[in-house]
Amino acid sequence: MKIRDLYKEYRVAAKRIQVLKGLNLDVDNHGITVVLGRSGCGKTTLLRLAAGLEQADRGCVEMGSDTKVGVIFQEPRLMPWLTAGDNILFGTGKRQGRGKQKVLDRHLDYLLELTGLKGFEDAYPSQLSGGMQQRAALARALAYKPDYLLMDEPFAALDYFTRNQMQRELLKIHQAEQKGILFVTHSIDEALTIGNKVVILEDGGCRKEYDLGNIPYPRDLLSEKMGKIKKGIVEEMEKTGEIGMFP
Amino acid sequence: MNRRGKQVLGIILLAVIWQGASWSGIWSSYILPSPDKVAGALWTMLESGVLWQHIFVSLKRVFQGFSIAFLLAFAGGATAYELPGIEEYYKGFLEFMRNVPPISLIALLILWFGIGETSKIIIIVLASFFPMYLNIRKGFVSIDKKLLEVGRAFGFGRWRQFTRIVLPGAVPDILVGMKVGLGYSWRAIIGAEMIAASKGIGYLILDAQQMSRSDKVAAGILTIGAVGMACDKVFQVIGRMAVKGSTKGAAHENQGFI
Repeated sequence: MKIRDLYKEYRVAAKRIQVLKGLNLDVDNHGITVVLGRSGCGKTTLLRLAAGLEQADRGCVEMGSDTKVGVIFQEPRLMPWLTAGDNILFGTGKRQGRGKQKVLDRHLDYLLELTGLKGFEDAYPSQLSGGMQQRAALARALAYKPDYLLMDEPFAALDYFTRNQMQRELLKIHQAEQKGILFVTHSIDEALTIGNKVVILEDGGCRKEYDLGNIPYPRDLLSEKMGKIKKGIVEEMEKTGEIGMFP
Repeated sequence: MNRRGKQVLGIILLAVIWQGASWSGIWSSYILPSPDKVAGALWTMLESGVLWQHIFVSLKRVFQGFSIAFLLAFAGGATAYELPGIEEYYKGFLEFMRNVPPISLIALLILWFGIGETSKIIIIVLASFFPMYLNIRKGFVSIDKKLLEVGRAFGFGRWRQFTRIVLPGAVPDILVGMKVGLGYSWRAIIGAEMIAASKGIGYLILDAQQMSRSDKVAAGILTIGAVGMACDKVFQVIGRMAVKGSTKGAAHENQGFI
């Protein structure tokens, strides 16, 4: 996926605000590309444009015509009237069925196993914890068999430990599925934990790129090497002290 | 004591007070017919089968009127969601009609449609349309935009968006609307059967009134209430089957339906 010269402007209270100003980004088709930025720097806008949920003013997101993208939002956004199993199958047009009519769907079974939701396929979203709901959302995106996963701070609402666990699981799932992932976050630690490539989004464009492809998982953020990288990123992000204001 | 027990006890208590009041002799049996007299009238009508005929005729009218009102309300609500531009054309008119009591239209309805079934059914449609329309419309229009985005991300077209997200999401509101609408169509039956009816529970009450048979009037009232409650129960069972387990969903809780 190649993002080229992307421009996007919003009107907030009759004021024009240029969110993205000629952004360029290559999303690797099986690595994890992390876009890191402060709150309101336009990360979500970038993701929504890549997902086709909004139209860019200029520029384009280049990908093959039959390329499918799965989106994972900040909130799980599960259908409250469907069971976890049916929510996972939501994008495929299939139904899990209940009781005797239940059909065994191999792919569903595999995804339940992969996301640790085995045994919860008949539970409704309101009966699941936040972490499990987000896993179901992840499984739903995977069930669609996408070429790319677009993830918009999917773990931001989770507590520290759940978040760490989800990051580990995402790495595991990534290992198994080998999809290209575009992951947006404001957490430097998260970016360092999962990113093959970390891109800092600042002032409407990609300011700096870090290639972490040669650092194996799982990573120890407290190691000297990671500490150095983190320090560099923090300094880079602190250069522009203004508070962002875009969604 | 459980809830059902308390409910039954309340009704028994009311009947005892009623019986006591009529024994006390303060009011004549014409003003306050005693429970046993009402039960007697009820029994006579049940035995001769007259009451069943009245119930059947009224039920049929309620069912027809309710069904038409539901279809109109559903179409109106769906239009309000899919084509909000079109809704503006009928919004004002509906707002106006909502404030017109259906009974006030009886004279004109008789002039236009005669004294047959049509006028009676129109009265029921008018009475039950608005609660259904307003609830169904609300269900469609207030659908969570974030859920719609999930559909868009999966490349759903308009039809799939509607059938897979908007419609199931609106089910609780639709059911509440139908429940309220059903109650309203029962209430309207008296008004509807004021139009030259020769059968129906509404007719039974109006006829008894003219014959000064207050016991029969009371029997008719009891019948309307009982049949209305029975309809509500049947509807609840059907509704529960329609949504199956989905009522466990968070958005579907506390809708006053289950």
